[in-house]
Amino acid sequence: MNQQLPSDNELIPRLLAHDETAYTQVVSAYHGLMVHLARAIVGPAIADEVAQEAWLAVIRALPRFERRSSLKTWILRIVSNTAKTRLRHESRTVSLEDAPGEQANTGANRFNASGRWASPPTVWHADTPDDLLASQELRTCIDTALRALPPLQRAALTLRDMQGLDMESICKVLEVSESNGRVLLHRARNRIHAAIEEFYLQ
Amino acid sequence: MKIMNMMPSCREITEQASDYLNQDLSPWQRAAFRMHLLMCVYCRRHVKHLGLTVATLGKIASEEKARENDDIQQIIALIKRQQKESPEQKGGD
Repeated sequence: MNQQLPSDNELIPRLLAHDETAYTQVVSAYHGLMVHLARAIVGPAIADEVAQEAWLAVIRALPRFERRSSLKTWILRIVSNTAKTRLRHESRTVSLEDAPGEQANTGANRFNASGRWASPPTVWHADTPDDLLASQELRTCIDTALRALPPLQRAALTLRDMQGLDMESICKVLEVSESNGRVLLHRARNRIHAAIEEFYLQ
Repeated sequence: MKIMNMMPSCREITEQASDYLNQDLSPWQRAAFRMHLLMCVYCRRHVKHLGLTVATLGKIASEEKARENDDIQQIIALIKRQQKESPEQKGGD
């Protein structure tokens, strides 16, 4: 998808000069990613709308972009903030960070007092992603677990494990500390892991 | 030196597993982590499953990538309209 995007140094002046080719390149490179991030935070129904709103904010703010991060990270941070604001408007009570309940698969009750496994992981009859995804039921199960994640956990997981961003950029995009970003990812991965494990237990 | 005292417990292994997969552990933590895995079949299994979970999420994402291109023209049109309406944008956030 990302076919030879010019460097930020080359792109930014062209964007400021309203160069249509440059806009087409940037939109082609980043719009899909923006929609994925918006969807992770606000859900599928208004993700496209949030991404559009974010583009308009990008155009407005570009003259004041100070280049303390890459253009990509800066654009994604605008998406993240647009989405968070939207989420607060839509549902005042929802917590961005966390939902109640500990992860089933690494909860304290799985270990004895000395920290060893009391209820060890069971064997999965799958060795590759294709093995796992061959089961439509398991796909549904993973999808349900993804949708149940708190928004910021889902955003961290989407950016890292589904879109391949590095942790430093992710923390800048979501405006969380490095350690908080790692915790968000750790929890999100554990929840999906737990959902798959539960599926194999049935 | 009692090496066992410095080894992470199974519970600690599950807490560090995500950072391990990200290669975010310090060299010392990483060595202790791997040492534990050598000796513990359950933790090996746990880490393998977590890695498989992460790989599966990547696979799902790559399947989704196919249908992304439709909106691009629409966004370009939106941007052009905005620029026409307000060529001298300065404010707003």
